[in-house]
Amino acid sequence: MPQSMKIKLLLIVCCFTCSACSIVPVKSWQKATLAGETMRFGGPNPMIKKFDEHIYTSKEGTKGGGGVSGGGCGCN
Amino acid sequence: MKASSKHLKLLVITSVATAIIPLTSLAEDKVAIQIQQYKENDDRIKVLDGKLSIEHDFGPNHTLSGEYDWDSISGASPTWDSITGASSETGSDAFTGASACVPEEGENYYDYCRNTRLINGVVGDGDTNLDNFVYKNVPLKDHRDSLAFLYTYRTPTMRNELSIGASYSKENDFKNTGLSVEYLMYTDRSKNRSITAGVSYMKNEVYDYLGEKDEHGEYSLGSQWNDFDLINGQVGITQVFDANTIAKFSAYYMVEEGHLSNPYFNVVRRINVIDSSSDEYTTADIYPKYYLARDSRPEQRKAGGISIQTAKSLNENTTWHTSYRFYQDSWGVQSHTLESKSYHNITDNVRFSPVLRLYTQNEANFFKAHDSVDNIFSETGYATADDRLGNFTAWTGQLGLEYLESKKLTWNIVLGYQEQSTGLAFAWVNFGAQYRY
Amino acid sequence: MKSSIFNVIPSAILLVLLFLLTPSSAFSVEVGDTLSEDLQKQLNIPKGQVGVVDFFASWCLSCAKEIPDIKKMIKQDSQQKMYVVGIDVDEELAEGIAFQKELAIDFPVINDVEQTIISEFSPIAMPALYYIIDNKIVGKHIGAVPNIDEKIINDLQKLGVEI
Repeated sequence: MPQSMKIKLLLIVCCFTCSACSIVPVKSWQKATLAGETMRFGGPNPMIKKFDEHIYTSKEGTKGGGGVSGGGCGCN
Repeated sequence: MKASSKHLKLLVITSVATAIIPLTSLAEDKVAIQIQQYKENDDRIKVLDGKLSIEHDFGPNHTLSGEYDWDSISGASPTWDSITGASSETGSDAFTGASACVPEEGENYYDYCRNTRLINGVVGDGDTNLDNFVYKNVPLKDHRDSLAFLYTYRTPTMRNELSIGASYSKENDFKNTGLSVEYLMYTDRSKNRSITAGVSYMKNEVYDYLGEKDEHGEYSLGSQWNDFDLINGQVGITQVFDANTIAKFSAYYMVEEGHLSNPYFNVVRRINVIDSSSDEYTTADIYPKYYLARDSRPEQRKAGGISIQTAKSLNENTTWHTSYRFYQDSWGVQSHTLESKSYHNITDNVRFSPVLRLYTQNEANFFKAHDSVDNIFSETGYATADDRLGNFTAWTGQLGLEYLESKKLTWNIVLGYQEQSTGLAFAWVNFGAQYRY
Repeated sequence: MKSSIFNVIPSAILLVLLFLLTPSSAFSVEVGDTLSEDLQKQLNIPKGQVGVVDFFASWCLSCAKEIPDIKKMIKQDSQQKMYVVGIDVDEELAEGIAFQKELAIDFPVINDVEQTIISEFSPIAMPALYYIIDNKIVGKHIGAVPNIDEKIINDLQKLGVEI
């Protein structure tokens, strides 16, 4: 199978898996857990993650796709 | 020796040009300091890195953050070289050109010699056998300072966020200026879903110690700064699945253009030369010679991929993060990254966070590993022996420990280790503190 | 090689659309509704005073930022035209109490540990403020805003209450 087909297939599987996941609307007052600092994609201390990313991009052939924004409770 | 001993920072610092937004804004007033010591096996690179950051809110709608980073690098990095060290001698025939091509090799050879330089960026004199070439550590030393700012504005009703970032970093042979814009928009009033779109532009300047070729195809004396630019775009969707689960799906695309070859990496090329003093020659007069030549990469690199990140609270004391990233570029590099990180509250004040990360990539189509059977390049075409563009797998393990002294003050220590199938292994230790005021 | 990169993009867009099309619902009590008797009892807003109901939680960063301004505003209200009541929606009582202590909250607070009160109001976001006159919701303000004290005084003025 050509590489591009594999990628497409992977994405389609992703779509189905995700649409099968139940999305339960979470009320504004139920976001205590989501607001927790360990729930942030950048972690409680984003500097640690930045150091990690710095090492990885320096020693591997891959660039980008990182980014630590987003996540959390949307209550800023 | 002079030229190469102050270079090679590029080997380590490539990450400056990747992040859409150099910082994150969490609407907290805080200062943080983090120090890292990094060391590679075989007496290769050592880095001491320090970061200082501050984030301050100006009312609920405006946040400004700034970060200063300082790091120093020393040690050595491997590349192809001649036993005598041609690559590090600024006075080699690569500069003077004629001195290497003129000798007893004959007129035809002389012309050919000059032409190959024009095409291939030959460094140093050729040799009829490979014994004079070795893949060895070349010493390096550098220092980098960088500064980044991020301003975030939150819209009054929906609390959408607009972030504008700027960054600058400088080292002896590399300068980077970056600008980025990112917009985070909630798509529903309960704020369970948001879309993030960002663009960044990076202007990089690389100092090339060999300078540029003149009209005769020879490297001019003196050195110069070369540019390469990077444009990066990223879109993402963050979705709250339930009160304990959140995930982000992203797609990214970037284009790099300009001087992407690494001025400090070499390859070995085999070039057929003619040993004849007249225009009349037979095939018997043609024989191969090996030349140290400069790393040569296409002037454009298009790359893109997708990533999925999830964060799930398993119970009151445990949070589990997973991520997967797929990457592919126009040089033929393709990679998969899988990471798991978890946070465990051991006591009210101590948090433990182990990481396991698996990485695999396949090689660029112009890469030849220094230790492979076929490690010599032909006289034309792109060429690199930089292991980072090779075929390899890597695993990384990390152990992090945070001590939450109070609600405001947190201390952390992180130990990390990566082992690559190339033979490279490195370890690092991070130590830092974060204070919310 | 190039083609496979470009093949990823349409699939990624598909993924985006899929998410956008997933329904998500949110509803909230509208301005104009009268409080249920249960709520009237719980909130206990004295007759003749405008009730200002402020929902907050220890994990809500911008809620915490508004509280000092609200305290300042109460001090300015010398004629006691307002009755501010805080509703702490922390599910962990200890966390809520610690938070209130930390901010030295000196106005009445109801610990809505079961989150029943906030469920009735169902604000779409936090922080959330409701204005109540004669047990009727007459206005609300959802989300963080700079100088919330001035905002409340302005809102009340529009409702005919001069502080």
